[in-house]
Amino acid sequence: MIDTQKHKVYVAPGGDRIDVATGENLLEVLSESGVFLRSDCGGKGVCGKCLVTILESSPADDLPFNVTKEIPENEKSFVPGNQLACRLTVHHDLSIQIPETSLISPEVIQKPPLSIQLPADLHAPRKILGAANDYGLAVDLGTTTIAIYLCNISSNTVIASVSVKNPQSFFGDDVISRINAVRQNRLTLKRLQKLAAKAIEFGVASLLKKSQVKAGRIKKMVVVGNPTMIHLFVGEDPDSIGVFPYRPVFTDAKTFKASDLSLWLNPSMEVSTLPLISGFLGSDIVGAGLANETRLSDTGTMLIDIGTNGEVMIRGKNGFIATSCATGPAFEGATLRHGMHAVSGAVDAVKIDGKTGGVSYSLIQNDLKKPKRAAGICGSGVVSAIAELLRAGILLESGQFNPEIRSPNLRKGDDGILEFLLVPSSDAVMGEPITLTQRDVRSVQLGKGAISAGVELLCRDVGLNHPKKLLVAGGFGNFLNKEDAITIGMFPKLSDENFHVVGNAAGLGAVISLFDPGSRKKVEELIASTHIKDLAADPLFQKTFLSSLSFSQ
Amino acid sequence: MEQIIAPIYEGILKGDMKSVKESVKHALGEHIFPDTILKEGFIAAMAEVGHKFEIGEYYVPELLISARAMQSGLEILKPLLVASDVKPAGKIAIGSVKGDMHDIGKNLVGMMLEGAGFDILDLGVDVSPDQFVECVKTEGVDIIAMSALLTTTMPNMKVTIDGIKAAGLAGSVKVIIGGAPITEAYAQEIGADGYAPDAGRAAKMASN
Ligand code: B12
Ligand code: FES
Repeated sequence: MIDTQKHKVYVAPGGDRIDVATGENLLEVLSESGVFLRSDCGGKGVCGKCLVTILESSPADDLPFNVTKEIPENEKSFVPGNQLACRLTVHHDLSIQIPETSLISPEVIQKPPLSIQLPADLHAPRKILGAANDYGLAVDLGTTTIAIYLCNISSNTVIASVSVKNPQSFFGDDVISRINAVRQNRLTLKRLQKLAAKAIEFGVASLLKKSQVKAGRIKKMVVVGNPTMIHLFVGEDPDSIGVFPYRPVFTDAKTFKASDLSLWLNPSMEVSTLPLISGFLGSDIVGAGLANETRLSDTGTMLIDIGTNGEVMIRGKNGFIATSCATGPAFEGATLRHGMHAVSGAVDAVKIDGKTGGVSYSLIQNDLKKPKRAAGICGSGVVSAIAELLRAGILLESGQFNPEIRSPNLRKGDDGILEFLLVPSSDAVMGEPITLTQRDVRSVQLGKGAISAGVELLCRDVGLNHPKKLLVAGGFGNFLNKEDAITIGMFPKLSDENFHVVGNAAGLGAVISLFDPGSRKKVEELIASTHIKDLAADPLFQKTFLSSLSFSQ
Repeated sequence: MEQIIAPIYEGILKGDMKSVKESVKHALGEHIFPDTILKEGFIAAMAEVGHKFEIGEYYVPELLISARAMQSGLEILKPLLVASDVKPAGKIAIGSVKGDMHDIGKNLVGMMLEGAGFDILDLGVDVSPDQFVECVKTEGVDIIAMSALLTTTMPNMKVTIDGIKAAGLAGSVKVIIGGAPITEAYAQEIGADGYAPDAGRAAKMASN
């Protein structure tokens, strides 16, 4: 029973003051007041990402929390001052500080308006002279990141774009965890719906401010996303997607009034979602397909959208074959000891000197004024690190650290298992060195194995050994170094003219749909000509997956 | 004798099926007891394979090749073990829980348990709580091993354990669980008898 006694939580350095009732969970309390912490494991106390530093608690000798579950094995920096917010119930006033590594940045990450290449046949609508400009929003509602494009729909131009973290991450990093959260408590459905709406509004507000557009001029919004995200966004329970046979409740395109979806910027704005294909093939891959329609007309062209789930489609002789491969969150940094999203402080590329074995790296840094310090490693960083380790012979193709090689940075971890030191403690935010462990490498092997097995089996289905042309979409693809990805065997070796990184294709699909209502018909055709492949049902899956685990090309 | 068993042990570690088969035949020709070959060749080698897996030296492919090499030798040995009345360490029924089609981890665990001297009954994937309970009743198994890879299918482990209790079988069978989203804490919460994070430790745990 939660009694009515109130406490205060002070959050430094911003100075937020939050009123809390005794017994409430700190992670929940923080997120509800707009302070979003990382919570890769969904608050189970196992990922160690939701760390907060207790500056002061009163009475000081009586620590204000109960650590109810065992301290995660990988949480080395667990000292009395540092606590997992998700394991902490508030019983006293306290003042806390949130390390940068724990924060899901509540600020809008300003991205330069993407150089979107609109299809040539998409002409600006004829403008009625003197009429004011109308605007629209295209949204790619990702499991981890939400990308928003503000567009002028009178001139068919993209004006500005931003991306914000999806605050639903509090309920887990992948869609299955969020489905499970709803299953355990139906009220969560409403909260997840609102969180998505809130995050979109948050991003839109900054776009409007930046571009001096009035909310009332925004007439419509098109949203794409994976099936679970779309279900949650429209307030539909995605439960059936979470268990065999993984069916969505609906697959058709839907249209709402903004106010029906708790979007209040312009309550009468029309909001529509693009159709879904199956439980794990959503309007994101549909949008990506629409955006790359021309390129995809050549047989043997393959489109890959990498996120927590990888979606892959290939053009065969008679239409498309599409599948989802369960990549897992390693490329979002989640299952790695020092993994993090591709935000400020993340190591995003690594170089190892072939002669000296010395390591250098580059960091994502949004605020150039802040000291350059590493907080962790993101997906592209880990791919780059592994590629370099393979080139230097420090890592064997089997994924094992080479015990016979001498490298100044290869050392035994506390558990006696080899690990590779990327960033020494003196250059790390938390004062703990950033390493790549043997287990991290294994977890990348699973993710890359799932992708390359999916690629191989789809090719096989259309009678090819490898795709003729590869289009890599998704935010991860943007940062990814092509050579590195090929070195670790994630993608087949293709020449430059047959390998294209196409950016956020799903978002572009939403933009196109916003500009050209006629494209809806193309979407329907694309879906009608797509055959869904179930990897689990392919007798060759297991063999292909297992042989794809090694880092050979 | 050690010299005769050593090639079996080495063959399993290397995953060399042919050499394992030949060395087993050779050992039998030299009148080594099947029981000794099993314990000092197979079980000892698989324990080392499990250890290498645990410390990250081996991964899924290496473990699989070793397990297959072990199985190829076991095929030769099995009829002789039965004939000489050597009892297995126990009987284990293993399966992926209802709603879950992931089985790579489960298969590895099954092989490691086999390599630890257990008799394995593989119930496959999408195994309902009723099927598990029925299996306890009719097959006389000592241990039920459940695997789940999806957060949404984990609860079926609890349903199964409750079903076993309701059928009054709790005293006669032990339940062990595992899979990527499973934790020790979860195992305790639902009243499972054991949890292991990987195949090597699963075999160690079942043997104790
Ligand atoms: C391969 C794979 C698949 C294959 C499965 C093939 C097969 N026959 O098993 C395919 C492509 C078919 C698949 C499909 C799906 N998958 Co999948 N899959 C994976 C993947 C990449 C690897 C799993 C694996 O085999 N690991 C290797 C083995 C050796 O490890 P393990 O299973 O953990 O087992 C070890 C231990 O856990 C332990 N253990 C296991 N069982 C037991 C039992 C006992 C008793 C004990 C003691 C120990 C133990 O020992 C094992 C060996 O050390 C993971 C991602 C990841 N990074 O884990 C996703 C993952 C498990 N899949 C996921 C999902 C969502 C799905 C789908 C529902 C949707 C999709 N398409 O993505 C479908 C549904 C499939 C179905 N019909 O059931 C999610 C689950 C998320 C969650 N929070 O629950 C994951 C985590 C990926 C992700 N984040 O998206 N998947
Ligand atoms: S440990 Fe707190 S959210 Fe994962």
